[in-house]
Parts: sequence; C-alpha cells; structure tokens
Amino acid sequence: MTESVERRIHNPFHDPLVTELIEDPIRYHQMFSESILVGEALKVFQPANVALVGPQGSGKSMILNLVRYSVISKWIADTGAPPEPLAQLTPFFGISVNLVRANFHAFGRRSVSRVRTGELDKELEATVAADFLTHYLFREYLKGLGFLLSTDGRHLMKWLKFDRGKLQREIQKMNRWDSWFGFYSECRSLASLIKRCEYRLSIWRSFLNANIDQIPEEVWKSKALLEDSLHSMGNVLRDSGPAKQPVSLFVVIDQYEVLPELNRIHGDNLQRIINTLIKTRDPVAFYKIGARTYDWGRELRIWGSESRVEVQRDYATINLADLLMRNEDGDWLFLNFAKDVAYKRMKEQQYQEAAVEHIDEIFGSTDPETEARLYFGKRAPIAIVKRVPPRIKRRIESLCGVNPSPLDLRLAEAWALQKLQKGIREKIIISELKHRPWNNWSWRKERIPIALLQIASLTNQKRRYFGWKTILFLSGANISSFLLLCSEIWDLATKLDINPLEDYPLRASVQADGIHEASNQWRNRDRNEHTGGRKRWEVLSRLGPAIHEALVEDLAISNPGHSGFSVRESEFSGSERGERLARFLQDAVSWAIFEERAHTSKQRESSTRRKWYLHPLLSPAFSIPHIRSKEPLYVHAEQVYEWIFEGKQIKFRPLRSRRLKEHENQLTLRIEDKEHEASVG
Amino acid sequence: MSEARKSLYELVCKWDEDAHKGSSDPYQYRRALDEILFQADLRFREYVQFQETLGEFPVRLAEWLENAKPAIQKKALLKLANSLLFVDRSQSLSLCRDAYRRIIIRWVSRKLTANDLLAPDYDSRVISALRRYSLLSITESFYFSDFRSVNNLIGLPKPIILGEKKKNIAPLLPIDADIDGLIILEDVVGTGDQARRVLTEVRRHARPDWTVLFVPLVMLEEASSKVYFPDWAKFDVVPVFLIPADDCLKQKPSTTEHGDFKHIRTLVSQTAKRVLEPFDEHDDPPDDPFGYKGCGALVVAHRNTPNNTLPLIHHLAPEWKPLFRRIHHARS
Amino acid sequence: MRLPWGKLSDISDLFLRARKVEILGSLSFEERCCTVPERLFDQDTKVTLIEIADPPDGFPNYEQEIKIKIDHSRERLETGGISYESIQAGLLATEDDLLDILEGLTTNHQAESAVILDLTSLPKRFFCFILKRLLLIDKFSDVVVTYTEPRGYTDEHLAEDPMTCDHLPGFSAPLPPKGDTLVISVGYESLSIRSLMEIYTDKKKAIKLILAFPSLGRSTKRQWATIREMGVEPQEVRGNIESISSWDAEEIYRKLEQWHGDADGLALAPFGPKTHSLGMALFALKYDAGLFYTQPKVYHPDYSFGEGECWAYVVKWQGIPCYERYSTHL
Repeated sequence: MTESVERRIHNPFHDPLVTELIEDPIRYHQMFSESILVGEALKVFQPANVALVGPQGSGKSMILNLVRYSVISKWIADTGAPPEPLAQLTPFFGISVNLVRANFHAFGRRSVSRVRTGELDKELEATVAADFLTHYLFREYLKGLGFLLSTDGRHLMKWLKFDRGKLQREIQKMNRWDSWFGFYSECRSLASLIKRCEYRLSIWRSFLNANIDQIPEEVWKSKALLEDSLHSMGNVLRDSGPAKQPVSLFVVIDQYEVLPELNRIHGDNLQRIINTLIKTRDPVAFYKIGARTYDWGRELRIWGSESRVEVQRDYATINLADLLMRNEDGDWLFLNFAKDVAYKRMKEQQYQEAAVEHIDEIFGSTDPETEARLYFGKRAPIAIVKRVPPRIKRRIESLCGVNPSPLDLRLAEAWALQKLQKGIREKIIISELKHRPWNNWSWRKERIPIALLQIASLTNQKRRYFGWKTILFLSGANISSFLLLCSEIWDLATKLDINPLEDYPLRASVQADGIHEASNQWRNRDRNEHTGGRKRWEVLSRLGPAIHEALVEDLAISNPGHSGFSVRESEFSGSERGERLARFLQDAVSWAIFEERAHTSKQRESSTRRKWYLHPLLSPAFSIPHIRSKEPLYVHAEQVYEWIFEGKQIKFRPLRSRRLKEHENQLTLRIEDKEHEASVG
Repeated sequence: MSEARKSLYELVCKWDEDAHKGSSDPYQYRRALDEILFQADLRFREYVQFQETLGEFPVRLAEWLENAKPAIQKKALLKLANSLLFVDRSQSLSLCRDAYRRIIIRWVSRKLTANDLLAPDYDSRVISALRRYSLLSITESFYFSDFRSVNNLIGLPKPIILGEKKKNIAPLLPIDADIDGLIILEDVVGTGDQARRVLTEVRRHARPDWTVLFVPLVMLEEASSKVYFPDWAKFDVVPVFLIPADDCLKQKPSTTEHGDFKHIRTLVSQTAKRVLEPFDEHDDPPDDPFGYKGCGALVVAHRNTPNNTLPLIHHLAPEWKPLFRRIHHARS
Repeated sequence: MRLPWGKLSDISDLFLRARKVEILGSLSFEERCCTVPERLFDQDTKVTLIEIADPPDGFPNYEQEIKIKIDHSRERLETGGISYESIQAGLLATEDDLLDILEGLTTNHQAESAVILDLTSLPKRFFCFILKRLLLIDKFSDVVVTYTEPRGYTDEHLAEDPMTCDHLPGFSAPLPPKGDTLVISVGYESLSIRSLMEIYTDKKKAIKLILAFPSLGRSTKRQWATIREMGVEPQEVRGNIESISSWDAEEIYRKLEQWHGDADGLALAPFGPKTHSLGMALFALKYDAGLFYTQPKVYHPDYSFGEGECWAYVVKWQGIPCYERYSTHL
C-alpha cells in the first residue's frame, strides 16, 4: 500500500462521531482532550446533579464518558493519576445507563397493569419501570464493584482510597437491603447478586417482548424503591472510603431526551422518574444527564407530583456551547480545545511530524485581500464596478489605483450605492469619495464578508474558504463540525497526493473544496437524520438560498447583518402556532442547524428578542457569511411560521425596503474571458 | 499507484471547478470518481484477468481516460465507468446459489410432497431428485466448481459442455441414460443466438420424454424471445438475473434509457475504429463497437468481461487500453 | 432449520390444498396488497386486513394521496367479492396495540385453518411481532408467510423522516447485549443508520452487510448508494459483505447461524427486503437476538407499482416452527 493510500485510510479526523472512542477506555485516553475540563465543566465531576446540554456533536458524551469507572480507571492506570483538572476534586465512582439500550424506554408499551387488572394504570407502569431501572443500575453498580475488587481495578481502588475489607463487608450486606423486599436474600456473593439481578431484568425484558404474559410473583411482590436503593448504593461507597473525602456515586444517564419520541404514551412519565432522582437531592448519589440543548427542560415534573426539578436548587445546567463559544474578552476555550483534539487524533494515528503540534500552520492564515484577488487571478478586477453612474465609477477606479484591490472596488461601489439610495447627489458623492470612506474601520469590517461573497458571485465562482481561523469560525464551536472540516480537507489533500503534515500550509483550493464538501455534508445530514430531520432539511433548503439571494442582491450592503433573523420572545408564547414555531427553532438549535443568541434590539421596545443564524458550517453550502455583524433581519414570529410551516416563499428582506435600480440588481456578471485562471497559491 | 489517483482527482477537481455555477451538484465528477474508487477498493480488485500485468484499477482507469483527448469524451468514459454492473465473487456465488435453490430445486422437486419438504433429510431427497437429470452447460465459461461448492453438491459430476458446434451436440446427449431430463446451465446469455442454436439442436436430439430446463445465470432481456420455445412443452427457461433492455447501451437510443447514455453512445461511435483494431495477428477483435451483435451490455463479471459488453471496456488495441481487459479466444 | 419456500402457487398446492385459510395482511396504498387475498380467497377464507396510518407529525405529509390509493385497494377487493375485516392501527403501534390486533385473530382462530401472514405491505414492526406471536402460540399450528413482489419501486425516497433507532417490538436485545457483530441487511434507504451505531455500540462492533442479489430491477445500484451514505470505508467491510438472493429467507437464517457461531452473538438491523427481514426475525427468535431499526414515519405513496411473483414460506407446520426443524444440510 502506498503512503498516500495509507494516509487516506488513516485519516485521523475520519468519523467525527467516533462512537468507538466513547466506548473504548484505551482509545478514549489517547484522544480525550483535557483542555475542555475547565470552569463549569468541572461540575460534571463534582457531587452535584448536572444537566450537560449542548447541540448535537458538541462533545457532551465525550465529557460524560470520563465519569464512568472503566474509563477513568484506565486513565489512572496509564498515567498514575486522573486528568490534571480533576486532581483537586474528590474521587467518585461512576456508572452509566443508556436508557434505550437498557430497554427502559419500552416500559408501558406493553402494559403490565392491563395484564394484571384489565385497565391501564400509568402509575403502575411507572412503578415497574422504576423497578427495572433500579435493578439495572444495581447490576451496573455490582459490575463496577467487581471491577474494583479485581486486579484491573487496583488503580481505581487506590484513587478512591477504599478499604477493601470494608467494601467486601458492605457487599455482604447488600442482599438484605430493605428496598429489595427479600429478592436477593439468598445471594451470598457478588456473582450471585449479579446473576439474580440479571434474572430479574430478563423477566422484564421477556414481558416487554411478549415472550411471557405474567410476571412471576417473586418479582412482582418485590418491586424496588428507586431512591432508596440508589441511596444505599451511594452509602456503600461512602462507608468504604475515607470519611474526610467521602466518595459519591455518579450515575450518567444517556438518551434521556428520546424517551417521549420512542414511547409516545409513557415517555414523559419515564422522564419524570429520572427527574425524581434529581429532585431527591441525595447526598450520596448524583446524576449526570447529557442532552441536546433544548431536549432538557421540556419535562421537569417529577413522578407522582406536579412539583418540578429546579435549576440551581436541584441541579445545575452546563451549556457546553456557551462554554466553548468565544466571549467578549477574546478568551476562547474552543480554540485550545480544537487544537488539542486535533493533536491527540494525529498522535493516536502515530503521526510524528512536527506539524502535528501546529495544526494552525497546516491551514495557514487568511486575509480578505488575498482571498479577493484569488477570484481574479492575474486579471485585473475591472469589471466589478458596474452599477453606479459612469462618473462615480471613474472616480472610484481612479482612487483605487493601478492595481486595484477587488475588495476596495466592491466596497467603494457599495458605499456609493448606499448614498445614491439615500438620494444624495452625485456631485456630493464624488466629493466624499476622495476621503475613501469605505476604509472606515467599522464600516468596512462589517461588510467585508458580504463583499467577498458578492465578488465570488460576480465572478461565477464558489466562495473560497481557507485558513485556520476560518475553520474555527466555521466550526461554530462544535467539535464534530470541526472534525468534519478537518476530515474532508485531509481526505481531499491525500487524494491529490499531498501530505498535509509536510506540504503546508495547504493550498487554498484544496481547503476550499474540502470545506465545501464538509458544508454540503452538514447541510444534507438532516435529510436522513432522525427526530424531525427531514423537516429541518426542507426548511434549510429554502431558507439558505433565500438568505443568500437577499445578501447578494444587496449590492449597497445596507444590511450586512441580514444573515439571521430576530423575533420578539413574547411572540412565541400564548398561541399554538407560536409554541410550535418555538419548538422547531429549539430543535434546530439542538441539532446544530441554527445558532441562537439573545438579541439586544436597537429599536425602542420593551420586549426582549432572540436572534437565529444558520450554523456557520452551512455558510459555504448556501454562500452566506459565516461571520455575523450588525443587526439581523427583524421579523415577526408569524412570518417565520409561514415560512416554515406553510411553505410561504421566503423573502429575506425588511418588509418595507426600497428597490434598487434595475441595473444595480444584477446578480452575476460573467467575466468575458473564458480562460480565467484561478491562481490559488 | 498514488500518482494515478492523484492525476484522476486533479482531473475531476478541474472539471468540477470549470462546471457552470448553478449545477445541482458542484462536485458531480469528484463524486463519480469517489464512487468508482470506492467500488475499486472494495470489489473491482477481484477482477481476475490480467491482474498482474495491467496494474491496479486506478492505474487502469487513468490510462483508460487517457484514451480520449477531449474533456467531453473523458467525462463520458467516467460516466460509463460509473454505469457498469460489476458482478463480484460474492454476487457470482449468490447467482449460483439462487439458480439451484430458487429454480433448479423447485423444478426437480415437482414430485416431492409436503412431507418431503419438511423432512430432516430434505437435502438428500433433493439431490436424489437432481440425479435424475443430467447437467450440461453451453460453454466452458460456466464455473461449475463454484456452483457445486456454494450449494454443497460435492460429488455431483461436472456438466457436459455442449460447445458451439452443432454437429458435436447430439453425441454428447446421454440418450441411453436412466434420467428424466436435462438441466442446462450457462453463465451469460447476451443476444441469445448461440443459446438458441444449441437448444435447437438439443431439442432435435433429446428424448421425447425428457424435460429440459435452461438456467442462464445472467441474461440480457433481448435474448428472452430467442431462448423461449413456446411450442416445446417440456422446456423451461428461467434466468437467474435478467438485465433489462434499458440498462444496455445500444446503437439506437431508447426513450427510457439512462440520461448519460447519449454522451456515451457518441463516444462509442467516435472511438470505434481505434477500439476495434486488432492488437496483433493473434487477436480476434470484436466487430461491433456496441458489443457482440450490438448487445450494448455494461456487465463485467469478476472472472471476465463478456463479449456482449461494449468493447471499449474490454478490448486491448494498439491505440486503446481497456478498463477490464477480457480474455477471449484468439484466432485459431 | 427447514423452511420450505417457493412460489405461492407451488407451496399452496403442496401445503394448502383443501385447507381453510385465515389471511392476515394489510389494506394499503400499494396495489400488491390485494394479490394474496385475491389468489387465496374463497368462501371459507377469513381475511383480516390492517389499515395503517402514518403518524400525524410525519413529514412530508402524504395523507391525501395515500387515502386515495387505499380507497382504490378497498374498491378492488370489494369488486372482486373479497370480504374482509378491517382493523385500524397507527404506524407506531405499541406492543399492546399489536397484541390487541392479534387478540381477535387468536380468539376466533379455528384449529383446522392455516394462517397466511402476508408481509407484502405490512411494516416490519408489525409483521415481525405478529410472526413471533404466531410462532409462539400453540393454537396456531400452521403458518405460512407470503410476500408479493412489485414490478418496481419509485425512484424517489421510499420512506423518510426516520425515528431514533429502536428495537422492533418484541425483539429487544438481551441484557447484557451479546456478541460484537452488527449485521445490517442493506436496503434503499440509509434512514439514520448511524444512530443505530450510536445506540448499540457496547464496544467496537464488526459490521457485516447483506446485500440482496440477485434482486428485482436496479436495486443493486441503490444498495451501493446506501452503503456509501452509511459512511463505511471499503477496508471496514471488505470481506464482510455477503450477497444473498432477495427471496431466500432460509439462506439468510443459515448465514446468520454461521456468523453467530463465530461471533458469540449478533445484533441485527433489517433495512433490506422484507424476505431478508423474515430470515432475520426467524434467527432472532431462535437465538434471542435483537432487531434494530430506525422506523420511518412516512412512506412514499408511490412506494411501489404493479404486482410480480408471489412467494410463500412455511414458517410453522404441524405446530413446529421452521427453526426447530433440523435438516441434514450437506
């Protein structure tokens, strides 16, 4: 096999989801980036109930995985200590449950109450579901204790500072816990407890699978008390370790959000069972739930009551997207995180080159001037200015000099068009042009992304994205999208027999094509994605082009911020349509199709607003700017509802907008010379 | 090999870049190449003929595209490569298995009862029924060893090969054997002409009490009318896999054929002279640029490419390199 | 395992001659849903047809077109003099809903009747569960599964708007999950198959793919397109793709048995033809394996057209399920 083919096969960024990474402690240790364990993220590893939320692919599962005993044990075995950010924290013992894999989601679909009493009793269904979950977690717990007592678990044992004798004595007492109602009374060993537990789980499974029609009385009469059992499990850990650093039980709960989807009648109730555990605020057992951004919070009631779990009081919410996003001080966690993830991945594939530590150099830098000139190659960008009166055109061209910057030409023309739109006379415009007002820093900065887009469009080309910063911005602080970008660029480079670790910075054209491919994949991902993906894809297919059209046609670049839209929050509540729209937008955010922010309105109004943009990685696919500036498009919820649910044509511009003159609205301009050469450097 | 892949990707990237804006898929050529190389890495590597001499598939593909100079012709070749039906080894075995399990067993078991079908020794009962028939094949290209091994028929005698010469057929038929009929197998039937000639002779000389079953593994739809004998009551023909006429690229276009065929047809005509030229004095080149008797097949089997397939896919000529070179009989 | 199968005409002659039959199928927007009732109906035949409605939140919404087509099917049966009992059900019927559907059939079943379970237009979550119950309940002594091929399928997406991966009703995986091999029967739609890998990866699983070949029409190309959409690399599946004829449910079972022996347990994902899903379901019943699927909420109203050959599979006879019959497979 040639090196090129090998490198292609061993694309270190392939499979952004890397499910096997999550499950395999060995690979996990090789690839997990500790740089994300800062600030609020550390709460996941502290004795607290936590809802770790974030869009699809933001890395939630990656963090929660470190809670699992098998994973942290491997880490400690390899390095002698847990990850450095956890060093000061109290040790913990973590088990996990994937609620779908465990079949918890199926409870109620075959009704126990109907079989026993002839009538549906939702409370009874929840009771048996809780019983199942209790014993399932007990089995995971027992397996964990078995691991702890084995040779493989010695490192973990040491970290937890457990007294082996104490632990074994506690295990001996487990069969007599009151919460079991005698079910395990005959069990004398860990192995026998596990076997008995698996028997019980198999009974529930057989019933749900309709293999059996009756639950044996010994199972029926000993339905466990969920909170009590978990509390007892936590106590064992407390009592087995040092009093000064009591070890807590952490339970990672996965697939919580799909319960209502997979169980339309009882799904909410099943979620309420989990909520009840959180509400208990058990001092020895803590729950860590990973969920997409808005999938947590839709059902907050507990089981058997209208009481709700309360944030701050019963649990903490950590929004991973917020954690990673750039803040006003320029302190960007995602930057270091992405670099570290890339580094680890390349190391894991045993790449040794120096570039492994400097992924930013592989992609190089970008600047608007360089990009703008790429669209013209060696040709002069003389055809850019076409929509202003001839005198203004001549003035602009003379001011821009002999080897004019295409960007300057476009921005100058835009500035002039803005003035013309306001009715300012030509003479005055020509006079003001001499001050080169398009170079005003903030005015220019806000308009560069759209100007570049328009230049690409005018020259009948795709926008060229390249450079490390571009990749970071396009990632939208989402590690999956970052990995997808890197993967596609790497893949294309190696197909062209370019070694990314030697021939860097990579050619702009290679990066651009790889980025476009990644963007198209992100765009089409939802086509076959579950939980409403088809609808999201359909909406994107109309909204993206509409935004593009509006921006490209805005040759005066009067509204550079109109790559997103803003709606008053109050318009979402109080009506079915508003709530339906809110739900759609929330799902789009959860699935990393949209990004959402609070919006401080420039208008005088008392109500708060929120604004939405397409995820940055969709920008290349729809040729819209990935950098946001200025004000988004102000719309009403009703308008957005019509776009999304009634198929109304999306006109992404203000309701009352002046129409530009006909000759200013030409969308494309063909470069006459068909042998345009794109010099990509 | 990496040079070949590199040159292929550079080529298709350029094509994509030059394509007009507004194309529904801005990466159509790169995707087509990805698709082809995916199949190459997965299955095309199984192609048996000239494996050692002609190099791996990306090399062959690069050279094949080089046969054509204008970009429009190269693009047509790329599309053609993407339109091929490649029958890999696993599929070939599946055809043999299906021939036996779905067609032959049913045919020979007509006298079996429900109890026979449910019996623990059902398989041996079937084999007993099968032994009442003589196995034959039209040509030697039918791989009986695969058929035998995939169906656990070890011990079953090899089929009698009837061959193309009419006068040889009669003596080969087991007229005096204590059998109920014949099962005739064949790997690929294209026009059906050869099969018809052979079957007609078989009919002439077969015992009147015999029932005859003809099972081609792959058959082009156009052969259907030729291999059916409506007035031969004891004859059945059941192809395992029938290739629809619309999947064949013939000289005359059809209204329901694939959209890409139009460009490929032009290419076939433009390159015919070069493609059909004899390679050397031993070569017996095809005489129709659309395949034997103009079949227009787009089939490649892992063991060989049938002569019904477009020659520009399989024929080596002084100025033409094939993609899947065919082994065929030299001029004798 | 001994699963007699073949064309319905042959199987019917051998097994159903002079037998009363009870047909359970679907009244659907596909014209082929009528074929088996038409072929087997006589005055003593009891026919029960399930009319299945897509969930209201499915997208796109084809409700109107589907209703028209179901009406055509209804009219066709009525014109043909075929009387039947109709049961309404939602596509996302729960295990309880499915048990309710079967309850009437079970109660009213006559011992001398053979049950014909027509898979043709029944969604997998229906037919796999019903098949299971028919095999497990002693009252049903003789069960034949039928399947009518179409003439072809639409070039559009056959089904869309998939749900999160879940097990098919009645076929959850054992706890703890066994084995490290995932077998996917490949169809025309990838249907969020990656979520299957997210849900069901206890450790890295080997993947084996089953392609239907030979099969109807141009299915091969579409299956390869699905494999590409799954995002698998050639080196991940080279040597792990098996081609099995579209109709050969028995061979599917045998192949799974062979892999089961090597892998200490299989997880199954029946995305391919229904006949392959039948083979998988039979295997899952025998070896207690899980069947996983991303259920689409919407089916294209032009899913298929025309009616082709009818196939029949004797899954249970004289009280013995096929997987409990042993043949001397040479």
